[in-house]
Parts: sequence; C-alpha cells; structure tokens
Amino acid sequence: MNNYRLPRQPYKCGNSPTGDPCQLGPFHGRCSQSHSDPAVKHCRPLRTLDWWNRSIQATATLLALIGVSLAWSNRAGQRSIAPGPLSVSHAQLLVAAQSGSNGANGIDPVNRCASCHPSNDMGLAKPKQSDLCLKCHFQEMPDAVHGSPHDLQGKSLDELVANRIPSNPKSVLAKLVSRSPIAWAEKSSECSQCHREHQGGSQDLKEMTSVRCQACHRDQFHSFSTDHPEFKNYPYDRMKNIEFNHVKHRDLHFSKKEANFDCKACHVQADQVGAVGQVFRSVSFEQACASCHTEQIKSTIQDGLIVLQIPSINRKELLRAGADIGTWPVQASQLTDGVIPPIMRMLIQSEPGGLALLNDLPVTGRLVELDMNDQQGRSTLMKLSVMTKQLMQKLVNEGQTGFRSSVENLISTSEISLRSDFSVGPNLWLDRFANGIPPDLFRAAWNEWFDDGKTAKGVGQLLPGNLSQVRLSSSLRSTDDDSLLTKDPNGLLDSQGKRNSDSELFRDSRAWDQLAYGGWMIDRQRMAIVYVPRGHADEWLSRWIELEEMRSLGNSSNNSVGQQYSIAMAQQCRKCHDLQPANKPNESLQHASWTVSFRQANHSPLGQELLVSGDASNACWKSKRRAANLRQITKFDHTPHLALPKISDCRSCHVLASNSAVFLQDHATIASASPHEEFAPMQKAQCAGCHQPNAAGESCTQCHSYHVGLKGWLEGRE
Amino acid sequence: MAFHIQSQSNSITEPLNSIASIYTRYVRRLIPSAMVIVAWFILRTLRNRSAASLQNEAFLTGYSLAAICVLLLLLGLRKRIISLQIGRMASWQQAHHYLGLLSVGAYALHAGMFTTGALESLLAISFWSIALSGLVGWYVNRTSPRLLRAAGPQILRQDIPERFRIIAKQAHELALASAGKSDTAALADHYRGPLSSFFATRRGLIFRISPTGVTRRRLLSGLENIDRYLSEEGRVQRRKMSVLVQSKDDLDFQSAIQNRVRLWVAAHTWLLGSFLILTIAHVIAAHQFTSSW
Repeated sequence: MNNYRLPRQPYKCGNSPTGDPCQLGPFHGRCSQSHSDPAVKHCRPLRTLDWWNRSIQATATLLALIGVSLAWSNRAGQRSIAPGPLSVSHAQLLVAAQSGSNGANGIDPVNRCASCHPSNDMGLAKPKQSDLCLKCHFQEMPDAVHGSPHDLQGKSLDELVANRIPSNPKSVLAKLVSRSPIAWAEKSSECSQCHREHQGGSQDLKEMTSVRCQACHRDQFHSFSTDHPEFKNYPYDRMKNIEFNHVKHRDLHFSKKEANFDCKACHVQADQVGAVGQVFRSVSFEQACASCHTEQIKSTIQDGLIVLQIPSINRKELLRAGADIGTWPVQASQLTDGVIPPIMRMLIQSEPGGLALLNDLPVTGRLVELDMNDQQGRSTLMKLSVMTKQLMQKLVNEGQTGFRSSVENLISTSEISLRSDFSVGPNLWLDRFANGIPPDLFRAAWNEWFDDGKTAKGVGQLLPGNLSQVRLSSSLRSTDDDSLLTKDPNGLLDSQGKRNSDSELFRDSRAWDQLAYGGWMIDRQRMAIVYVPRGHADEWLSRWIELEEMRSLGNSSNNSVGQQYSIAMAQQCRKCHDLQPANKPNESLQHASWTVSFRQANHSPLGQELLVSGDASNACWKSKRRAANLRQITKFDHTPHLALPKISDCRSCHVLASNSAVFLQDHATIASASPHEEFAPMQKAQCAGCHQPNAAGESCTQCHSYHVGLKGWLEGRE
Repeated sequence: MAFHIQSQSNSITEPLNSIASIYTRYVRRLIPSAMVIVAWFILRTLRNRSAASLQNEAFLTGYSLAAICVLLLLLGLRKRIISLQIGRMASWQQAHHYLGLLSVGAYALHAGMFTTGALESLLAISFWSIALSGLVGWYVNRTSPRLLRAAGPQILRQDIPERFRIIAKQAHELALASAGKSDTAALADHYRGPLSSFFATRRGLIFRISPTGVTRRRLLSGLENIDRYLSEEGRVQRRKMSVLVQSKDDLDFQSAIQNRVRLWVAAHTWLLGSFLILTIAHVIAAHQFTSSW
C-alpha cells in the first residue's frame, strides 16, 4: 500500500492502474523518479479524473463566454439575448431587421432593440420605455403619456374615483380617495408593468390577470358574484339625447296599431358593428321612426318657416302723424298688426341698431300693441320699416354673403367653438346658413313689394329652373292678385300677357303643395319669404335651432330671442331631440355633452370624419353611437350574448320598470326623468349566473377597460 | 447472570436505538424538508405580492435564486479552504442538498418550466444540468454507502488498483501451486480458462454502469463444478480460489460504485462556470432592458 495521497493533482503515476504507483508521484506531467537508478520503475504519468473535470469545466465556461460575447456584440446577437420571441403585434420589429430594410417603419435594423428599450446611446435625454411605446401607440392612447391610472389626470381622475367608491368601507380605494389630487397625479406606471413582451407569438399582450387590476383596486374582488359591487343603474345611467318613451310606445302606440314592439327593429343594424356589437342605441330615423312619424312632421312643417316678413303697418295713420315710411306693399299697409317671426328677429338683431329696435318692441312681440298716437310707437314702426327694407336690400345686393354675415353677427366664432367644438372650425357651420339662400327670390320680392308698384315683371328671366317655377306658382297662388286672375283666369298667360307653354305653372294650388321636398318661396298672403323644410333632419332648420341653443347657453344679456320668440317648429323637434341644456347636471357637462355628441354622431372619437366629410353637421341631433375603438371604463359586447338562446330576447335583460305606468302619462314625465328611468336597473346576479370562474369567466378585463383616457371617460359618464 | 444482565441492557437500549433510528431516518430529513417547503411558499407569496403591486416579480425571484446559488457554492469553498472548516462536512452537505431542492423551486417560480430565447435557454439547460446531476448525485451518495458496506470493508478508490494486483497475484500463485499435480490440475486448467482474464482485466462497461452478481455466480458455480476432479487438497485450493473470485468481484463492485459517485459529483460541476457566465449576462441584460422593477 503506497502513501501517495495528493488529491486534485492533474497527473498521477503511470503505474497506478497496475496497482504499483510510486509514492512521490509525477511532477508537472513528468515522472519524478531518478533515471539514474535502474531499480526504479519509470512511468508515463496519466491525467487524473480531476484534470478531466477541470478541462470540461474550463471548456464549457470558455464556450459560454465566447457565446455571450458574440451575442452581446454583434447585430444578430440582439435576437440571441432576447428572452423570447415577440408577440405577433410587434413582429415587424424582427421583420425590419431580417429584411435588412434601413429604417423601415422607423426601426433601426442595426439597433432594433432600441425601438422599445431605452439605450444608453440616447444620452441624457434617455426616455422612459413607456415613451418609446407611445411613439407608436400615441394615436390610439393620447392620454397615456402621463402613465396615470386609466390615463386620467386631475379632475377627471378625481371624479372617477369619487363616482366609483365601493360600498366596502375598508376598501383601500376608498382610502386612496382621501389622498390629495397631487398624489394621484404623481402615481405613474410603465407599460411593461402590465404588458409583458417576449413571451412568444401566441401571447396576447392585452391579457391581464385580475391581480394586476387589484394592485390599485385593493378592494379585493376574489369573485365577481360575491365581491363585485352591485351595478349602479347600469347601463341606464348614461344621458340620452333622443327622447323615446319605451313604455308609451309599447303600451299605447304599438298596441293601438296591434304592431309588434320588437326591440331589434330600432336597436340592431346588421350591416354595422359598434362598440357593443351590432346593437346600437338607435338606428336611423328612416329605419326606426319614419313609418309612423313622417306624416306628423310633414303637418308641422307644411306652413314653412318665415325667414323674412313685411310687417303690416298702418301707413295712412303714420302719414297723418307726418311720418312716411316710403314705398310699402299695399297688402301690408292697412293695419298695424302681426308678430316679427323669430328668424327675422335674429336677422334684425344682427344689424346695427337692431337690438335697440327689438327692445323697443312690445314684450309680447305684437305690433298692434304699439301706440300709434305716441311718438315713440311711431318712431319704432318707422325704424322697423327702415330695418325691413335694409335687410331686404342687403340680401338683394349681397345675396348669400350678406345672409352669412348677418348670422355671423349673431354669434362670435369663438363662442361657436366653445359651445360646439367643431373640429373643422365654425366657418363651415356658418357657411351652411347661407348655403341654398336664393338671392333671386329676394330680388324678385323686392321688385314686387318695394320697387314702386312693379310686379313680377320679367321674373321668369331672373329665376331659372325650379326656383322660377316655385316662385311663379307662389305668385299666381296669391288670392290678392285679382287682376291676374281676371285677365287670365286659366293661368295660361305670363305677366306680359303672352301664353305660357307650361300650364303647370299656373295651377291654382297652395305653393307648398309643390314644395313637397322643401325649398324657398314667396308667400304673398303672408307677405313673407318662406323656407319649407324638406322633412325630418332638415339641415337649414336644424342650423337655426342649434344657433338658438348656442345663444341660450351664452350670455343671456346678449340674447334677445327669448323663449317666446323661439322657432315654433323646434318644439316638435325637441320632443325627441334632447337639446335642452337645462336637463344636463352642470355647465361643464353641457359642454362635454355637445362636444361628445358632435364627435360621436360622426363615429369618430377624434372628429376625423368631420374633417374628411366637411360635415359641420347637426351631430347633437343624432343618436349617440359609441365608436368601437373608444374605450370606456365598462364595456359590453352584445354579440356573444345574443347568440345564447336563453337571453337572445333583449327583454330578458332589459326589463321595463315595475312602475312603468307612470311613463304612460305624458311626454313631460319622461323628459324630466333621469336617463332611461323607465327601465329597471340591471342586477349583478343577471351576469353572475354565467360569469363564474369555470364558465364564462370573471376577470376584470372582460368588462372593464384600463386605457380610457379623457374621451372615454367623458363618454362613459354621458 | 451475565447473560441476564446483558439481555436486560439490550432490552433498555433497543428502544433507544430504535428512537434514534427513527430520528435519523425521518425527523432529521423531515425538518429540513419542511423548511424547504416553507421557504418556497414564502418566496411564492412574496412573488405574488410583488406581481400584485405591479412590480417586476422576476427580479425578486431572480435575486432570491442567485442568493441560494451563492449559498450552494459555499460547499465547494468549505471543501477547498481548510481554514473554513466550520461544522461537520455532513451538515454542510445536507444543507447543500436541501438548498439545491429550494433552488429548483425558486427557479420554477422565476422562469417557469419552459423557457424561450437563446440566452435564456442556454441558462436553463445549464441550470437543469447542474440541478439534475446534483439530484442524481445526492441519490447516489445516499445509496452508495449501503451498497459499499454490503461489498465488504470500504477501500479507498485509489487503493483499489493495488488490491487488484495483489488478488490477481494471489490467484496466479494459487493456480501455479495447483498445476502439475493430477489431483489439483483441474483447478489450474480452470484458471487458464475464464478465471485468468477475470483477475487480469477490468470489468466491462455494463458492469461499471450497473454492477450485478451474474459473473460472480457463474464463476463460483464453475469452480464448484470441478470439485469432483479434485482431491481434498485440491478442494481446499479451490475454496481459496473462490474466495479470491469473491474478493475481486467485491473490489470491482466497490470500484464501480465509487466511480459512479465520483462521476456524478464531477458532472455536477462541469457546467458551473458556464452557468455563472450566463447568469451574469442574464442579470446585466435584465437590468439593461427592463425599465420597471
């Protein structure tokens, strides 16, 4: 037995396998025995197991070091050090580098990691990683730049928290509410805290566990059915801008007609997909309402809208008092009577001295109340006559431009911007007032009424096409023009006694019978220039009603229109269209409501379509439609739910309130009620039946969005 | 009387021995096992809390794993640095084994069972190689002493070749002594056949990987079968030869078992350096490319 005990040596005696090693052992891989001694058995030293171990270790370490160095230093290595493949959404980062395209999609193929990861090369201006995310995602989430909760800041964030205080008093969210707004503003997060990349192509970056939501919402919801707060009048807590009394329509109107009250007829549009599937708050008027309401609207508008009317003034009495109003139509010279129509009042107000004139008129607006024996009364009538001629002359001389300038004088462009938030600016909206104004019609009326007794001479040449027909038929309709009827009772000759080839022009009928699709005419019976709306959603009429609404929101001292002088036709509109700002809870919400309405009705949260179509339109008239890409705190998609036979009928979830008989009374009841009060609030239990962990799921993100932003928040609280 | 006292003392010590045995077998393993499980649950809870507070939980589990790995490396230091010989080596090894178990749990919390990415995959391969070789080595370490005890007195691995040589020499001399005599020549003839190569060479790879007694039984049976050709003196020599066969086989068995232990311990360290390099690269990359933690 030898005493050689030297572990961890790289060499051992070559005689070891034969069991006869030397006691000294080899030195530096060489036999340490003396060659001069023939008795000693020399050997060729062998490598020990320890040497092999160390060699394998060193080789593996060296290979790892080389591999890491290569991966770190060269371009291809960027993929090597990536912790995994990118998701499909970000695949273009790899494609750009593979194809070698230089800077395609703004991605540097050499340093593509820097597209998402802040690099030291960026120096002192090294951004946060979220800033790099928002380089691409800014358009869809402009408010995410602050990294604040739900992309909200300041008041909107405070409102969100205040409105969503859970019932549980122990809630940490409730405690957070008590924190100062500054504390909320300072609370920012990074995108990567929730969205984890490099988990493979099949990974859904939006997939989120409820635990992440409850990082802030520490009112822990372990289960939707037991922990989630009860709904607060969801989804009926939103303001509606189309008044529709479901109870009344179902129990009175539809039952009277024995018609089927089918929810889908008014709420489903199969060829469109919105935020909640193919279900909308309302479909078009033509689809949902026209079959019953067209005639009703026609009867309201058949008398037309008086734009300008020659006031009836007792000219003789004025002359007796020494006041001469000059040329004045005979038909309007017998009595001092009548009321200045609302639009004419606004046009008068737009002229210099117009406001003072309106203030001098009786409060009731009736001219008959002016005292002709009083100098003041006579002076007012004189001014009124002058103002009427001035207006007529302006429209005759300046045409549409003059009309537009009159409207422009009524409301400043800044006020239009403030009240309506036209993305294209208020000018286009103003243009629409002048659009379609027929200057020839005003000229013809001027010639007929003020040009020293000249009648409609040569008007056939002045007004070509349809306008000529409208005007002529209107003039021939006048029962006052006895001479024409005497000379040509059949209406076959023109004003110069020549036979008119178009016998239709001389038909003795009401002018508006020929204006079935709307238009302008001279009404000789009322001595007025009248606009007949084309029916529902007439643009020109709605412009005036919008103007009234804006002015009523503005400085009341500047508003002489008053409720009693508002366009009478508008009352019919307001039965369904909720344009009354008084119904809104506060001023800021009024503004928000209009703002959102204009954007919403054009199906674009950013008003982009307004810009494209140039339609500075009456968006607030339309039923609100949530844009599919606009996120709200709470989201719902009807599509999968309506596919279930058990709840395919809308009424299985949307139940009319038990006290629905209240809503049968009159229209005012529903108008003054809170939004959608005729429906019974939905109960959490209705959802909890299916939304269980092992059934339809109950994660927070199934029903709630995180990246809401100001727009989503404003719409959500609507 | 003496027998009575002895039997009485046996009746007292036997229960004590059995209690000690139970302690050794179960309690001594149960406590560290329970500690590993508790530590894992604590780490898991911390990780979940970190995730719930929108922090990057991978940093918590990653640095915990790194700390465990550093503790695991202390065993190597304890072995190499003589001045650091605090506590018993067995205790250090036991701590190493259970910390190794905890590291597997921590790794699962940190990276999950499946890893993507080139660097991460290499790191995972390194870790699992080290962890699995450690687990197998642990098993081998625990089972080997019992096997070695069954194969006679333990012999140092480096002394085994010399023992081989001595046994082979003895067998050869025994065969020479039996040669030339008619009543013992059968033994020498038999030695020239299967026995000479058995004593002169190492066992095959299959035996070294999984040692069995098949060859031993075959050779001993063959030796017994030549008894009828041997005189009484020859049978004495044959029995000596059988003892030498058993000794050689025991040595082979010891050599195989000791080599097995040595191999797994060595394999456990092969990828240690690369694991360290890849870990450092991973930590640097994690810090460079992660903005929130």
